[in-house]
Parts: sequence; structure tokens; C-alpha cells
Amino acid sequence: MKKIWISGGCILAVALIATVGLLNVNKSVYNENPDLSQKIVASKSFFPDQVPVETVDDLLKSTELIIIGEVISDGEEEAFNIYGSGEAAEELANAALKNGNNPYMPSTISKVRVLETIYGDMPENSEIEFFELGSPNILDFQTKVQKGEKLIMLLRPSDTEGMYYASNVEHSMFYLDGEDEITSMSDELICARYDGLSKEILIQDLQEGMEDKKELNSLQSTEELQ
Amino acid sequence: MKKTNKSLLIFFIVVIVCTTAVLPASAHEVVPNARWCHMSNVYGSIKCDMYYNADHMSPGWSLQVNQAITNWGSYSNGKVRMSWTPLGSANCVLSTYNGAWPYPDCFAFTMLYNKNGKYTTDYNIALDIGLGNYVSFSNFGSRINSATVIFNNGYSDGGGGANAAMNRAKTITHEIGHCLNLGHTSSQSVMRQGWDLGWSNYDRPQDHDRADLNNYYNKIYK
Repeated sequence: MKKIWISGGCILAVALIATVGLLNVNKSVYNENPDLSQKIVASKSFFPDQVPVETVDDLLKSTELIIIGEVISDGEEEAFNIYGSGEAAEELANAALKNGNNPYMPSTISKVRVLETIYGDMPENSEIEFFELGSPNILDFQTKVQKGEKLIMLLRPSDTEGMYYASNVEHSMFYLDGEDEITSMSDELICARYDGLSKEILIQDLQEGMEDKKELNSLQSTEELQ
Repeated sequence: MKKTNKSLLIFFIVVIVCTTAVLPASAHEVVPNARWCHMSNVYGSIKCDMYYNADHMSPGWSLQVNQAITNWGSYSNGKVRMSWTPLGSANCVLSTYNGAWPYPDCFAFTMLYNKNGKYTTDYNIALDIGLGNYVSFSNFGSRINSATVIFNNGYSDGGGGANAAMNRAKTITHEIGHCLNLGHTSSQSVMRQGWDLGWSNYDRPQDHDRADLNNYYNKIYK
């Protein structure tokens, strides 16, 4: 009789442990209810034809470098030619000016110190220039970074050496507080789900995503060669 | 009680009929009440004249530019006439961005210029900001004097089809629609965002677009 009780108890305990285990497996590590009310995503008013950002792959599509950086300067305003750079862009800009149309848009250039490189080739403690659309300190075309902020930044090189763009405006920017906890600049759930979490969770997802992307690109190149 | 219900029903029907009669069939403008101001009256038919230049579109886009021009020429009920012109005299400039576009994940965008050479974009920013060039919708005025469309030649959507020929043609046709002040809509229209929209020839202007053009351009605005 005693044996039966012990066996029954064991079965129950195993079942209980399995259930708790299963519940934990199914429990998301992400923040499923981030507070989006405080987020200001300036680019949403300027670029309506944004492609939806729904997966980590979407975040990494144009990304070539991922760093943890600290903004070490105030943003400086610089006009940039909407047609780009080079002879053709100059010709287009001159034609626009001749017709009385201004072909220049404001941009903000800030200096960022690289504290850590998460993906890509960038020496620590080096400095990069970070380009954002719009005027400094104004919520126009893109929400700007501010001096003193520490962020995880998903970047893409510009045509100017040492200068980088956010690969997908605000969706590529994650603030880090003193405890290295994340608050996304973006209000897209794929970004905001990291809010309040440790930076390690995001870093792991980004690194895995970049490795997958690399693998996919190499597969595609092999297929193209064949 | 029954009488009250009947009266209410009649009242609502009257309101709905009146509202429908007063409002255009579909009002999806970019800048409220602004109009492309290059128009002509050809035997009583009002046309929008676009003198475009696309000399600086990358070669991979040339055929699609021609397709978009044909789309507006053939499927706007004769409302839109597009003719190539040298860059210096174009009122609609189509260009791919030369270099690495600062917003890698944006495929295209349109800038509308008013008569003072200030621009607004296809969405409103409430502030008038930035080097004195940008104007919000409320300060834009009522005439679209010219337009520039920039396409991101380096756009990659990870195999999502954006760069397929028909989708590029659809994007160019869509952006030219913005130049004519056609805004986004969720109806069957070339101004609906996205690709593979569930009907054939989604790169062409649809009934909805023709109705909008007829509503907006029924008289000459100079």
C-alpha cells in the first residue's frame, strides 16, 4: 500500500514538473506589452511608403554593421542634395535651382564613439559620424539621437568614409540605460518587445539574424553561380 | 413611436444622400485642395500636362518608366498627358538616387513643390521646418508647380518582389499619381500601397483613380 502511494506521488511530481517546464518553455522571454505611448517616431510622418517591419530579418535587411555606441557630440546641421552625390546629382540639383526649386534637405551629423562591435568590422573606441535626416533637435524627418545617449545601432555605410546611416531609421535604434536595459526608439512591436529587457537578449537575436542572413546570401550566390 | 422611427430613417437617408452628393466620390488627396497647375483645355476636355525628365533614372528602370508613362497616357481617360522634355524645363523629374540613399529601407518618395520652390512630401509634417524649404500642407498653397520623385536604386526587400519589372512600373505610376495630388487609399487603385494587390494590371490607374482625377481636374487651375 505504501509503495502505491510513493509511486503515485512520484508520477504526480513528474507530471507537475513537466507541466511547469512546458509552461516556462511557452512563456515568451520578450516584453509582450511594451508601453508605446511615449515613443515618438518622426519618420512615420515623412516616409509613408515604409515597408512594414515585422521580423528581425526585416530589421537586418539593410544592416551591415551593429555597434553599441555613445553619442559624444551635439548634432550639426548640414544640407544634403536630395539627388545624391556625383556629377548627375549636381546636374539635377542645378536644374532644380534654375527652376526655383530647392533640392537640399536638412540633415544632422553626430559623432558616435564605438563602445562595442556586435557585428561587422569596427575597432572599439573608434569614432564614426552618424547621419540622420532632418534638422538637429527637431522632430522632423527622423527622431534624432542626443549627446550622452548610449544605443545599440544597426547601421549601413554612407558614401562618405566613416559616415553611417541607421539602416531603417528609428527601427534600427535601441536606447540603453545605466543598467544596460533596452528601450527601442521605434514603436514597432518587433523592436519594442525588447523594452525593459537586458541587452544580451537583443544582441543574441541580432547576431543570429546576421548569421542567417550571411548564410542565405552565400546560398543565393552559389545558386546564381550554378 | 413607429412614426418617430420612420422620420428618423427618412432623416438619415436624406443626410446620406446629401453628403454623397456634396462630397467627391473619393477624396484621397495628398495636400488638401492643391492641384497640379499645368493644365490645358483641349476642345472642352481638361488635361494635366506633365513635362517629365527621367534621364537620370538608372538603366534598370528605363523600361518601367516608359510603362508608367503609357499607364497614365492610356488609362487616365485622357486626363494625363506626359511628354519627355529636357531636364531644365521639366516640371516632373524622376531620378534614382545617386549613391547610398540615407533611408535604405524606403523604396521611393515624392516631393511636391509649390510656386515658391518650397516642398512638401506625400505626408504632412505639422511643423514648417528645416532650412526654410519644407512647408506643411497648411502652408503649401493650392498649386503644385512641380514635383520630384526619387527612387532608391539600392533597395533590397529580401526577395519580396519590389524590384520585379511590374512592381517597379507600379511604383513609378504610383509616385506620378502623388505628383497629381492623388493620395493613398485602400480601394482598388494604383495609389494603394504594396504589390500583388489581388487584381490584374495593378500597375495601371483604375476606375478609382480616374474618378479622383475627374473630381480634381474639372476646371483649369493656373
